Amino acid sequence: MKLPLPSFKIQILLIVLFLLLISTIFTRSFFIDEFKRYRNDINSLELEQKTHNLYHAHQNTLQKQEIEPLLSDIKQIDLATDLFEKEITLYSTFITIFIIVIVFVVFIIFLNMLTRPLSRLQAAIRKVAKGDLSVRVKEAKLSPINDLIISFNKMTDELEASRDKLIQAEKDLMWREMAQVMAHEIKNPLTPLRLSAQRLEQKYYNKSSNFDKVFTDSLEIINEEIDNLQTLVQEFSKFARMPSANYTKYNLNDQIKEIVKPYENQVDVQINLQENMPVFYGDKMQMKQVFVNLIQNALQSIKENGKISITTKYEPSKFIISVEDNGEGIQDEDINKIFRPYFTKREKGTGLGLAIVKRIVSQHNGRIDVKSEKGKGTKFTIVLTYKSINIQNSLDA
Amino acid sequence: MLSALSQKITSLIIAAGSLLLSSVTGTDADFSDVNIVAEDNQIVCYASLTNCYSKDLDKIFLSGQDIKINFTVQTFEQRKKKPIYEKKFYHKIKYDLVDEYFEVFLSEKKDNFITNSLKEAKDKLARIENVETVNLDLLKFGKKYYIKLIATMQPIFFDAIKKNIDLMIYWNNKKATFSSEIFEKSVF
Repeated sequence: MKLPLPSFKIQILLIVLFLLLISTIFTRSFFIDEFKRYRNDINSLELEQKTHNLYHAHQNTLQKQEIEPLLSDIKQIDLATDLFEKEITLYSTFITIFIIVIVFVVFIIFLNMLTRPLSRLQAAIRKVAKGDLSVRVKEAKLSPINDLIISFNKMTDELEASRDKLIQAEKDLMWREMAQVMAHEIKNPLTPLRLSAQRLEQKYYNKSSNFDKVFTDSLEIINEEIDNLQTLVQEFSKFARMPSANYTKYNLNDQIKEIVKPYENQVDVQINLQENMPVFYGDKMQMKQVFVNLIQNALQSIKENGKISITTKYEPSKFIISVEDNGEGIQDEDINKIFRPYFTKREKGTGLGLAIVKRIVSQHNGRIDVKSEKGKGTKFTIVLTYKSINIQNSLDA
Repeated sequence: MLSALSQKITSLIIAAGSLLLSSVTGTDADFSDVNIVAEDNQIVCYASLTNCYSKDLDKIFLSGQDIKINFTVQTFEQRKKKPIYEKKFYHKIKYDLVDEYFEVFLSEKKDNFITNSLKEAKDKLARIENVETVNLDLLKFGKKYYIKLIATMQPIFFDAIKKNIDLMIYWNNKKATFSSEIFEKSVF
């Protein structure tokens, strides 16, 4: 079984502790050994024995009282040395432990001064990677990495400012594009309206013989263009004032089967719906809009031998619905723009269909992804993260 | 200045450490074979000090210094703090460095004992015999008493190296004590 490695901080502490122990123990042992060597040298002199021998050799001339103090001193020195050896062994241990503790504590303090700001920096970098540019790291003036922290904070300041500018620029671009499309869409019906009015005026003042026919034709054109303008206004209003969702429980598969029926005559529609899907909880009308818009989008991109595949699948807490076609596909450079309001490459169309789809999906706590290959087709995948409800209990849409 | 500071710190560490540990390995001296009997209208006691010697102490005995063990025998009435009778005496051992023999002096008997054997000298030093504790006439019937024995070692001074040594460190700084069972005069 592989043991997990301790953290970097623990590894450094263990190494430092090990080095401290080795160095202090060796130093202590060296000095104690030196003292023992000195003691042995003194003992080897055998002063006591030599003094005894001297006394016994010269007992006639030497008095006991003369020798006794000498022997007493020798004994006392020996005893004192013995005691001293014990003391230095013990006290050097105390001092060694004291030094180890102090150095270790000081080292931990300095290590914390380095690693705590590093940990804070690491956590801040993770947040920035997730998109949170508001994070700032508290400066640690005593830390050796304080300059790094200051640089990081400056960098996130600049990133935040750049992002805000970018968001604003994107908004401006969107409005400009929207205004362009609106201007184009409104201009289109205005030309035939003006021409029809001019033609009527001309025929009326010239008292033309075919005024009645011209009047009828022009009225038809005028009404048609007014209808187009009205549709444009309605779509715009619908997008701008998207109503809040009205959630009910219903069967998603049943809804899809109903929606595809009218299209079965126009194109080959294949549905692959997972059986026993849990009851879906959403706004039935809005979800109908989503599927209709996607199917319409697919129909518009299909030329000949067109096929649309719709699949549903349920994974824990997720409804996955995909709509795939084998149409003309989307250019790579346009993939990121298709969900923008008023973005369209078609001559007719408001460019609001997919923007509405995305908004509804977001309202249902979901996301929509698109994969496309030019000339081969496009696949939209919707993932809705809603809790399932037991189908036995509550199918009460 | 640094040298003075480091000296102060070192002394502090040593002082703090000394509270916890000693450089000397001591023993827990105690009394054993305690016998309290009445003889000639006196209560006398016999006892031996045990577990009171070590190799370090033996070296000190061989230093030629006068080593004294002080004994105190006290008789207390139960629940009284002051003894009704107290006797203090000492046993002394001295080693003759020149002629290499031990002299043990027992102050309670004013008796000298000479031997070449360290073991015999130590046995004599640690034994108390026939030591009077209290006269029976001082005891009252119906009252309860007990006898307490205490032994300590006197510090010695090495004049050659001008160093005082507190010998009690060899007894873990604890006096040897013994308290007898409670008795009454009628027992004797």
